[in-house]
Amino acid sequence: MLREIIKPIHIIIATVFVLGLILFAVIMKTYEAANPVVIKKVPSDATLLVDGKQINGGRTDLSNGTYTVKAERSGFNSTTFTTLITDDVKYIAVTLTPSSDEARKWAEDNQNAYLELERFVGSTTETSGQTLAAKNPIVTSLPLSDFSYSVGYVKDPKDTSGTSIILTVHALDGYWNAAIRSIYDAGYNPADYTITLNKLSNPFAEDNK
Amino acid sequence: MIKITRKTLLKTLILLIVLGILVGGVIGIMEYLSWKNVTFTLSPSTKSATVYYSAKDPDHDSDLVKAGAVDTSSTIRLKVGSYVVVPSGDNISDTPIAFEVKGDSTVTVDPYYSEDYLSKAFAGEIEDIDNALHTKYPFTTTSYVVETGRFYHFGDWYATTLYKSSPEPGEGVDIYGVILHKTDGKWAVVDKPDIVFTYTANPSIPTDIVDSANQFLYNL
Repeated sequence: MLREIIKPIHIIIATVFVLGLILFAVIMKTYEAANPVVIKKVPSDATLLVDGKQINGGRTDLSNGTYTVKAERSGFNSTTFTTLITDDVKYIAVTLTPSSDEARKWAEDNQNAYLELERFVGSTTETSGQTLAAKNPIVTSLPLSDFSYSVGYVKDPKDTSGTSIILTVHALDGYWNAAIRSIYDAGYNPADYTITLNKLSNPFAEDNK
Repeated sequence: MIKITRKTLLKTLILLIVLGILVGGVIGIMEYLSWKNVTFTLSPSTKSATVYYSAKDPDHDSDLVKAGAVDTSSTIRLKVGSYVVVPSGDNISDTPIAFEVKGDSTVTVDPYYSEDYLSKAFAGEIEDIDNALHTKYPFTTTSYVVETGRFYHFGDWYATTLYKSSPEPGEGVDIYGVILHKTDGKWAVVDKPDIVFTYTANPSIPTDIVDSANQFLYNL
């Protein structure tokens, strides 16, 4: 009786339907694990390596975390930097500065590309300030000071993105610990930062022995 | 016009049942695909380990839900997600160890020694540690006070503090932290004693040791 009811066409339709559902399920599971990150490069054909792996195209999948990015192209100065991918920062933006005459000519003729990237990243003073504070919340609490110490910051010149800082600490002898403790008291971990202890005469430093 | 006959109803019912079975099968496959094989390798000192689903703050035990347990190196199935594993055994730390399951993977459970064990089992190393410090910085032998510090990990890391014993009149006293590491049976000062340790200035020191040394230095 079943043979009369279920015809071959029904089996074909059901099979195609099931295969389609399985394919959909596998694709969804694969896509769920992905974390799309936009890639912007100037020049656009620069070679980009993320943690040593070459990335092609304008998009890749990276989990949130810290990555080492290297970009290079013939005629341009290569650059290597660390970038943090978070829920709020899902892009890697790289600009290369020209080193050869040909590259300089290209850069002059393609200023729009650099400007476009700047607009994308939003690197005006106000936006970079917002980006700086977003990446380094401690700046909103600085300076920390009293009569015996002060804790401030400067931008890290090694970071071309302009969003990394160096904490600068000045203190009277006998008050260096108090200066560092003020960072803890403000709710931050000094170990997270590059710190310059200005004019600390560390008796254990090589040049002081 | 479709005549609703008994045969038509039966056909429709069978079709619905088959579709239901197929959809159920697909859901079952999706569910199966979300579970991964996770192999736990326990260190010899770890007698057992309990796996919990990880909440946003794994320090709040009330948020943790048990996901499984192992008492030998073995494999269990876990869903993709974040977990912590709490080891149990003699002289080992029961600090939760966080891990992520993204696919079939191996998790090595090799906890450090417990604080209690570290404080008792390695007290005999203090003399060698002091000798290493004074050898590198001879001026500390007579003019500095070196406090008793703490051991970390497997008793191969040590952090303490030191300060000038007799500062000049009007001179303030700054307390320095110092970290030593034992390799090939010898203790040696890592980097230099300092007012504070940071991850960038002390890349050769494990970050948890950096934090612990700072916490010891600042009584946190």
